Amino acid sequence: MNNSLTAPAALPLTSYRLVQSASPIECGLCGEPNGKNAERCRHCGAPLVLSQQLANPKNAPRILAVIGPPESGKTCWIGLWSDIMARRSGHDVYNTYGAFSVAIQHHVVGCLSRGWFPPATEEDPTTWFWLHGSTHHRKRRLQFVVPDIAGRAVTAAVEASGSQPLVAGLLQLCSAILLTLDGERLAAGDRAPDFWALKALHYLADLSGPQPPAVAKPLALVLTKVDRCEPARDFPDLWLPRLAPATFEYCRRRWKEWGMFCISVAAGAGFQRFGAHVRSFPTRVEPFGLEQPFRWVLDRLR
Amino acid sequence: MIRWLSEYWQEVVARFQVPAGGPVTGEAASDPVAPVEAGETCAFPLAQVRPAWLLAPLRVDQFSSEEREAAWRVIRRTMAYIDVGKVVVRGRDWQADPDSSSQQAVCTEVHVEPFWIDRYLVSNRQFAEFVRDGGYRQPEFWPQQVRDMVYEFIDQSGRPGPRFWEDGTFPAELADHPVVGVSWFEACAYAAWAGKRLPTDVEWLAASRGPASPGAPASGSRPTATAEAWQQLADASAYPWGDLFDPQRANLWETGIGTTVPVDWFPGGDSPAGVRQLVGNVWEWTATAFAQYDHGADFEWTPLWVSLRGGAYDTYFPMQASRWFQSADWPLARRRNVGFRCVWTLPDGGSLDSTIGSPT
Ligand SMILES: Nc1nc2c(ncn2[C@@H]2O[C@H](COP(=O)(O)OP(=O)(O)O)[C@@H](O)[C@H]2O)c(=O)[nH]1
Ligand SMILES: [Mg+2]
Repeated sequence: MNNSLTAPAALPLTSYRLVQSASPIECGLCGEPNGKNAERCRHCGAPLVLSQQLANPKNAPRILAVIGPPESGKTCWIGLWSDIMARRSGHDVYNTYGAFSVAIQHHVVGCLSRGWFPPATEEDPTTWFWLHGSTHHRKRRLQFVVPDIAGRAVTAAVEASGSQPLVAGLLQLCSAILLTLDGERLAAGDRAPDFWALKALHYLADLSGPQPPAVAKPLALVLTKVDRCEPARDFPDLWLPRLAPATFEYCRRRWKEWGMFCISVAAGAGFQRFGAHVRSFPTRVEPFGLEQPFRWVLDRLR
Repeated sequence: MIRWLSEYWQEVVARFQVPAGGPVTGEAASDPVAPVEAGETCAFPLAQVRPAWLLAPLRVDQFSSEEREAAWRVIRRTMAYIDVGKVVVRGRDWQADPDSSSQQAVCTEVHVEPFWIDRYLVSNRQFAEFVRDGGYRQPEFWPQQVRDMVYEFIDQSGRPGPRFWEDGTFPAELADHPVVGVSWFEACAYAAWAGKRLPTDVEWLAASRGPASPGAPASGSRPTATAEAWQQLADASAYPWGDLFDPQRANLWETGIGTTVPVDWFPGGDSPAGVRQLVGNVWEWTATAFAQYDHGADFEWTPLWVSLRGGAYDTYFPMQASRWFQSADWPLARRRNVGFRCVWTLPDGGSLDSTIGSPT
């Protein structure tokens, strides 16, 4: 695919290499053909340079699927986590590949530092963020991909599998699942996040084959926005079963490896009106626990 | 509950819009932190622990002149005198486009009466004196409306005290760390017990004003000829030491400590007036409502937020710990990274001389 005679020597973006390939490119996630100049798959929206690597059975980066209902804090978490990792030096260094991997960090940190939460992730997959990075893992480097999947797309996939080829493909291929549960809503007595999680886990269990004794993919249950349910902050094992009992019970019965975590990005949130719509803002940015769930699932990858 | 709190809040805001106290003469600039004077602790414990309370005009005649002088020595050692005239407050323009990177501040010039401010945050050890003195049980320190709730201001073992204490006391190793886990009402009660009050937002800004120009000595003399220009320069600095964040001067996320530190650490972060840790370590409660100097704020609900200043050990963006950022919390919040310091003004326009005899 890569013609070394015509490839410019100093271009760091691997995606440019695809531009030079002669034949149409097949998306590694949905299998559909794309024009040779395409950056993203025109059917499922995945960045083609990534989807091809992901489909390669040898040495493919591991997919860490962050899923949760819309507005449950996924984008803020991934974006700020990648900023924290990018600032780290020494033993635990972290690399990102491709400019597209910096986009989520740029977007989230840009908004937060200006005093606003980022706007909601759109359902259109061509606008999703993809983070392709690597970190130190068992004495070698491990490459991983974290797609920032819109919550609504996962909801749609769960309700009607087949309607969302990209989501189905990603969840089929993924090595670990990080499931966000909105701590603010759960603390307010709203059980909807519990049921959303339960449905998503059923869907994931179905994807992994007919009734195995236990689902093997590591699963992190992540209670987000713990600034809004502060007593839970240091005791996820105590509070998650109380706040999301159905999800907890299901995991206990069906999942092999799973853990519970609490995170927050801000110390509180407010809502400013702009005419008919509102935009939320963090009162101050105080990351809490953002790294642990990722560390935990990475440690469990084989 | 919301209604009475709201009413009470209106009262507080009204009370603090004009800083209390009339013109104060005497002491012009604060001294550097003086060494502890031997003997004064044992001889006059009240002067040591509650000097401002002792010096209140209503009470001061009950004490000997030695005791009053001891109290003044403690004040001069532990507090800085701030007399800056005007302060420029940079508010936030809430109508500005959230997705545009150019953010325009709304500047307001506010006059500030002179005042004294604690050089250090209130420590656990100091707060324990208040607890030991039965501060949580003395109604005079609590507004009528919160008196029923004081029993909810308890520690891990259910005793009155800050949220993260146990058995009515602090972990021994945290004695000199700032007290945290106190609601705004507890901070106000402590201040009242000490004969002081919480600083207004503007007072906090006045105390944290930076040096006139980058590289100027922290306690350099003030060129009177260009007082106006000097003030503008000093007000323009983002941090008490200048314009650029420096993790060696304050305990923020970037400093890498990740928890509170004793109140006398980070001397490099002192403001020119000699006030420590205005930036970093813990957020500071103020006596002012959130967004009071902002423009176009139209929040979906009125949260009765109190302004917090200065950032804490887990503040991720240094800019959010700077003088240009205001955070907020609900007055009942008892956070692990929010503490406070107090200010003192002599009420009723009483001059230093008439109150204490000889201040020097
Ligand atoms: N209080 C609080 N609110 C948060 C936090 N993180 C996110 N939010 C709120 O949740 C909303 C959705 O966050 P986002 O990351 O876009 O969620 P996503 O739709 O799951 O990607 C934000 O606009 C904020 O209002 C947090 O740590 N604390
Ligand atoms: Mg999102």
